[in-house]
Amino acid sequence: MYNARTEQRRAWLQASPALIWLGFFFLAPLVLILIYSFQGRADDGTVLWNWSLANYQKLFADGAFWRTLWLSTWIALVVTAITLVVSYPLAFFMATRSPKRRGLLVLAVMIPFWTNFLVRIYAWKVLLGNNGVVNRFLDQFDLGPLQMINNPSAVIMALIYGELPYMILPLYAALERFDWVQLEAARDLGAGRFQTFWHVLLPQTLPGITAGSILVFVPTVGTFAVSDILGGTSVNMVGNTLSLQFGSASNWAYGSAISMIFMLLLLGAILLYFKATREVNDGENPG
Amino acid sequence: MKLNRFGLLLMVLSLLVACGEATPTTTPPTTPAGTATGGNSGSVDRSKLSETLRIYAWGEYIPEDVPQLFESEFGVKVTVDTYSSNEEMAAKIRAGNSGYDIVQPSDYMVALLAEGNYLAKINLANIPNVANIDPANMGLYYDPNNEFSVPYLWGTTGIAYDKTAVSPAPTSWSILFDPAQLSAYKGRVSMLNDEREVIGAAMLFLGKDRNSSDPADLEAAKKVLLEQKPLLAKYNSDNVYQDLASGEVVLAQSWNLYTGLAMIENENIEWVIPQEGGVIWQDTMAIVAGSANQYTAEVFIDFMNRPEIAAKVADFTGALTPNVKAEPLIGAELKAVYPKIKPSAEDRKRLDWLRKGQNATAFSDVWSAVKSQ
Repeated sequence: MYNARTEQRRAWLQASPALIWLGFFFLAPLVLILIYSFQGRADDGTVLWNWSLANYQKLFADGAFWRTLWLSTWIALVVTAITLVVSYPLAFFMATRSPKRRGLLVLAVMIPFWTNFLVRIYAWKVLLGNNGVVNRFLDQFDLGPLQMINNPSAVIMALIYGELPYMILPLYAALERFDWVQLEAARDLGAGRFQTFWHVLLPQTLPGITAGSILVFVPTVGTFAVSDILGGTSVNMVGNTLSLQFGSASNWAYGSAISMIFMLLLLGAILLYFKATREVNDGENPG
Repeated sequence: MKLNRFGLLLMVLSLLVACGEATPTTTPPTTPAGTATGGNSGSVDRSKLSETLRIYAWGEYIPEDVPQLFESEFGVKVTVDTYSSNEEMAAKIRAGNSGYDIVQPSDYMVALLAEGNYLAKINLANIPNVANIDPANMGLYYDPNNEFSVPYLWGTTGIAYDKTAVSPAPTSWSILFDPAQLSAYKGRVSMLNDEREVIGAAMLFLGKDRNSSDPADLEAAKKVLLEQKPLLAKYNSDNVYQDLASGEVVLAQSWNLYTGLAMIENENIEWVIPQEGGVIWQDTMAIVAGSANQYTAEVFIDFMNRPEIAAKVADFTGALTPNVKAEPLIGAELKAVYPKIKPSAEDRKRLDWLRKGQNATAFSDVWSAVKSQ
């Protein structure tokens, strides 16, 4: 009895740095946002302490928010799907090279990261703008100008470009751990190429797919910089709404309510996704 | 690799900017600051100066060499951090213990911060160079006795356009809000990304007050903005001058500060304060309440109001200086366009302030609705 309690105390003590860290950097801000979301806005733009459900009532009736959320979700899903389809073959290629080559390839994926993200997004604008490099080139042949920016496609493309490494690296990590002998075994047992991929390779790299998808989906659904720079008037995402509420509109209370609902919906979606992928995995490897 | 990519980007950028003129941020040679140019260092009680001074300023608002000039003259180390919106700055100041001595609130934000006791009362006796400032820029609604703020830069909101693409020369907001006129420039037009500026302009077009938050007026403005939206390239308040200079947009709701920079790079850019009226704004310097370095801050504000320093600031930003004695010292590039972007006495009658704070939610709701459609 005494021993067990000492053990328990020691376990808590050992976990305490992590608990303090989580409490300070994760829980405290979250609770603050939760508290703010039940307050109001004072005339000078500060938070007015006045507990009410008004923000949530307004939010559920706010067509603009739900339209924005729908567009953000749709864009993030498209970006995640395309990124996955593009990254998987690339990660496969990387994982099947010699160890020395692999290191170089990972480096090649990482290098664009070293340039500031905004600079890379502006580079797309320079390339694809009305008077951009591509349109100037087309001009030589009397083609165009093509309207390539200020639309959803430009935002989706730039997001795919920016998020690719977040998908490639987890996929690569999963594929690198894969025991390639299993592919030969599957072939020996009469499985075709597609069957081998679907029943052997894919289930075992599912953790990489899950991790990559979440790493891409979450920042994408909340982005505001890319849609600001390349989206023109047609792309208003949740991130833009939040930056308006916390910025010039100075309505932190309403912004907090949006954050809470957005966070809950996102959490729900991710949990469902986890559950679904685990079920697929369990189905493939019963027992 | 990083350098190469960035170098390439710079190369491409410079290709795009058709003319090879120097960037507008180049500052002309100025005489060394100090006693030779009528500085005030003689009357400064150096024993009262602090060792450091911390400034929280708008991005790209204080020329890089100015803190050094102050340091070499007074021995006070000046650090400058930057922000990109009044609200961002206010959030930090209101949170307390920001450590900043000087901030640069815009007109309406001076009033909001002063009301909340976040600004210190300035002792103008320590700022003799305030005499250089145009009386028209002093004693304004947001700080009637200049107890809390000293003007830094000012400007207007109007319409910038490329005269080779837009004719006849626009004189009314209708070029931006009447679809019949605007459709000729579809996809090459931008509006500021600012709910108050955009809704305010729509109100002026509708013959209403630019600050009206009357629900019927807002509904009418929303309708106008929704009709305008499909014809726009974007809402943009960040780099309108680049878009104008490179021809990415040919017609834009703009601040005169951006327009001046665009004019320096592209001689076809013109500027108009529409007949229905425009917006006037002014950024200031203010001292944070509770600053331990108030005297040093006042000496710094005085330093910034020396004509040669104020001219440097105008050159660096492209905005209008309230400093009358600085105007003749402005560099050649800005001087060439200055008469075009500075409102005449006649124009000035049509300008008014955006009074922000109250009813902000009414504007942001309309703005969210427009942007999400």
